[in-house]
Amino acid sequence: MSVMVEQEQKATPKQANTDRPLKLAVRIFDQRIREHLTRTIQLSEQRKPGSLQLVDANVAEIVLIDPDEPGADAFIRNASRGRRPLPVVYASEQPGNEIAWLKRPAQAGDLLAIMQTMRDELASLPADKAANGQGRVRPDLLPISENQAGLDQILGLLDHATQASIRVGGITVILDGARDRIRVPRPLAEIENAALAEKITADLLATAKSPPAEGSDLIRHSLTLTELGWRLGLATSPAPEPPPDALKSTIRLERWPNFALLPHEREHLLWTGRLIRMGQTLEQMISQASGGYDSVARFYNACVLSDLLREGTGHQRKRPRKAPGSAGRSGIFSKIIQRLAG
Amino acid sequence: MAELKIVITGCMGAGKTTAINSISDTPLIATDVGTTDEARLEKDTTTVAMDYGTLTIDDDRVVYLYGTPGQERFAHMWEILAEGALGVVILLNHRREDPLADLEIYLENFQQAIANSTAVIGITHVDESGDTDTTAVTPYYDYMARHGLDYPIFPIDARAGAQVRVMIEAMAAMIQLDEETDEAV
Repeated sequence: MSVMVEQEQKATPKQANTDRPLKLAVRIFDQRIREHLTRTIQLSEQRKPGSLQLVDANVAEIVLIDPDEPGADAFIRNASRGRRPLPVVYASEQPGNEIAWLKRPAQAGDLLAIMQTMRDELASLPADKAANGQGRVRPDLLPISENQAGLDQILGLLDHATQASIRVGGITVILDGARDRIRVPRPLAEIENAALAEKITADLLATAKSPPAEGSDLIRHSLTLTELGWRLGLATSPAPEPPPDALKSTIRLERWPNFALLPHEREHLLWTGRLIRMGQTLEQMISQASGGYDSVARFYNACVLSDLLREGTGHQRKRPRKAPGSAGRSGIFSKIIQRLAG
Repeated sequence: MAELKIVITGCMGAGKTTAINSISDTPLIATDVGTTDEARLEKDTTTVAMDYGTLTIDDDRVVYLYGTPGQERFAHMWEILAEGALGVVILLNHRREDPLADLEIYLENFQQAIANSTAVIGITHVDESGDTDTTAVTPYYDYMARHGLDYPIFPIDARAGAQVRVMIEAMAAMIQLDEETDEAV
């Protein structure tokens, strides 16, 4: 079964067109503020017809946010990576020079002025920056033996889309780049359709069926895109042979995967430590891996899909020598972990 | 034989006692007292000496899990508790006003113990902050990068034994990595 991707919001136009209205959204929860801004936008539109169009944040080019509200930083983070919509902070005081700011309370003149600035900023975004996020290029996946096209599509959406829907077996799954979530229309735990055999869905099901974390009554209704990418990567079936040039490339991780939530094997922690600390080539990783190339490739693809990997030359930090007697601790830790697992 | 111990430290309200309780074999021995100062706004009781739990790893050996008192005025005890530790877990309450300042305090005060072992950072109360896991850990990674440190950082729920266990697993990985590095030198 193939994964159908309907990209509702493509990476927005490469050039801002001054002849058309700027698509503007208000993503602020406070109803009074939202109503005030809506009136201000309508007033601005009356002053300068055809300049602004109030839309939902999912399809907006510009979004007004309250920096103190949950999720607002996701818009700032996305914009810093060249993704749209570009945020304008609505606050009484300027939060910082690098973030566009509309002074509260808003007036039509101020709004039109900042929107002109934002229009220019949109126009100045290089096409490749908009597409890839400040020129950052996600490394390629190692080849997989099935559904490569489906995974490539998902990879493209993770990089480019503000929001897109993926239809799998009759269920629409929403990829929401701005909010870093993948959502389904019903709680994950209610989806039992056996026809959803595609890896992405199987993965969602696996997550839904797994018990909530100990001590937590949280019921999972959605996944972060990072978690989705990680799980999909581990579920890939690597092609038998890696491309020869990939074996020699040095890889490093930017951060630890959130192993508190993500499925993992003990070896993944060690690999992560090595890849963060000094970097390794795939060849080196394979030579040390108990599961050989297959296990390394799954881990690598999980890191690529969850945007943890960066390419570059590894380096070795100078580390202090341990005090005498520190050697042999890993044996004790093995015992501790066995005990905890048991 | 030297005592085997893992030290769990961090600011008040970060979940040290809860974390120990979630993985300890034995009922936690706590030294909580009612808070009397401004800390009372954050929680009703706090640890004043130490908490401890145990993990029996085989017939002969027990690993002690020591939770330090969180408040800085008890810092004189931290060094004593941490001496000879297998590793140090630093728990940070993400909802505190300046958790990076908290991190700095614990990295400085446990510098010697960490240099002789390793450290893992657990970020708690992320859900209540409105941040995603990814956005929550970013400033901590930035801090680590600025200081040339590479300790694992995980957003965790201290009530979940499985999540606390991941920090111990990561600590084990870092120790093994250190031993590999030492052998290579």
